[in-house]
Amino acid sequence: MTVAAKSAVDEPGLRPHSENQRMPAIGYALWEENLSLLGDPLLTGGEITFERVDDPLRLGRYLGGLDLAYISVHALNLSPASPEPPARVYLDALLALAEENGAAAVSDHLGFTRDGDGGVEIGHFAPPPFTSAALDATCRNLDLIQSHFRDLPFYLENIASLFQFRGTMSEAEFLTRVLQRTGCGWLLDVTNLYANARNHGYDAAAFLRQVVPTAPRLQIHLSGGYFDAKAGLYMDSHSRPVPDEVWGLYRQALELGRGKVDAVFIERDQDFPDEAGWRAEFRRAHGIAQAVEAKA
Amino acid sequence: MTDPSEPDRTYRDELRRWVPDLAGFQVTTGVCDALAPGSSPIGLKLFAEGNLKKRREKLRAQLESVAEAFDDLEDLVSAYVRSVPPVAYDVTVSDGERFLSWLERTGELTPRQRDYVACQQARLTVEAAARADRPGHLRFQELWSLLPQFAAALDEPPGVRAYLNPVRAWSRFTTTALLDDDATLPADVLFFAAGEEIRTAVLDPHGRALVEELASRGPCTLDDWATQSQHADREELVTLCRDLTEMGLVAFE
Repeated sequence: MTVAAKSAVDEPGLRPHSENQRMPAIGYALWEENLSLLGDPLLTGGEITFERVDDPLRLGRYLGGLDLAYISVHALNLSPASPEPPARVYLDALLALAEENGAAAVSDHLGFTRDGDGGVEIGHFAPPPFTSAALDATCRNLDLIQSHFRDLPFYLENIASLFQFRGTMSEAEFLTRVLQRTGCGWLLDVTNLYANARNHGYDAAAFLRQVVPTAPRLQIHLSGGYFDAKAGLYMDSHSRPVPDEVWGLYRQALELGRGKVDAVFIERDQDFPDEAGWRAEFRRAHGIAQAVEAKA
Repeated sequence: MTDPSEPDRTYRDELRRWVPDLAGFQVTTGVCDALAPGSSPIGLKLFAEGNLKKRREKLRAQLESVAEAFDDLEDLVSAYVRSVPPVAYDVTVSDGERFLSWLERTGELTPRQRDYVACQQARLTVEAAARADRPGHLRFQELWSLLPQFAAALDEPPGVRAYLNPVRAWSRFTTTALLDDDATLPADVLFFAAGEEIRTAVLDPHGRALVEELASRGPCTLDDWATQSQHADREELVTLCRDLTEMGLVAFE
């Protein structure tokens, strides 16, 4: 794996976006624990995970009076790689949350969380086999999903997987074909890519070079997990700071995707840091993006 | 030439075989045989265990209010997750609701436990109703928030129409476990959304009949309702509506 690790925070003189820069919105997957950061002028984006905030009795918007330049609604259960389409009621609920919060985009994962209608729900997204049949099913569902969301761009996230099924093509080829056939955006989860590269033995940087050019637009996820020595697997736990190797891949992704990265979200779901810790990571994400833009 | 639907059918069959294993519902060797070279069954096992754990955590959260009526709730949940797979494509009925139905079918419940189950079911039904009719929920709560402006409306020759809260569910309790000690049993209890909370109202048979009459009529003026009511005259309806608006069950437009 060729990952350029960068440990130093290379963003002297952080400043908000200037007019001539095509900076992505940068922020966090939102939790009660980090909403207090929203006044920071450098924090311009936020991601709302539907399953986390879904409260059918809620009257106002999830964000209340708070606002951000770029909001994205993140879903966990569209199951694009299932043979059957997502339920209409779920699509409607996602759309309602997006509209109430002025979201600019919706996203979900490249995987399946169930088999078929009336079948069994897995609980978490599993990787599809990288086959033509799974590709056809995924594209069919993405066409329907994008049609439902109309003007709201949809982004498909590459997932971290602890195993893979036998297939007839690589993950990079599968994803490339999905993006080309459907025109949907890529939610590039850099940590998931890093985890899969470690767990399944491929080159993360080569993956980026192959797929980023085919993506019409991008969002980016960053997070931190840990290596489980007993299992021999990197666990995408969203519980640790973003590792240096992931920061390196992030920089490469920004360079390859310059001009079409719409947003960067840092995910932290447990073992929350203190306020300085929260701020440090999005400032680092912002600084790297700004440095890449400055070189353009 | 291959039938174009054949690969799709094969894919569906594969997922049907794999998914129960992936959900941690059963353990077979079939899914292991489908792993790519280099993928270890250890990863599969961790994935399935994680899903089972997550299912149990969600169930615990959904069953919080019945927990105190069952000393053996953890054992019951264990038995449930072993015998009933989580169902796909039914986002309107939660796993918690299915657990309660399973419990009613399979368990020998005491009357007290039945009331706790009924209470939890009604709460989940209210949430499902709000999810299914979000515009209706928002509209009613907006109207209800304007009630002070309609305070005099009940005494005027009204053009205003009475709306029944659309997010509601009936339940019936046979013990006083969740009621006042002097409550008349069995008691009809109406669960409904009030703002972002769920409230309850215990109604006598006459009150229930009137609420159901308004539910079947839909929004209407008190004059219209009084003209056609089988159960009350206008004066009685005015009194009822005062009580119901105070509770959060009726609003006016």
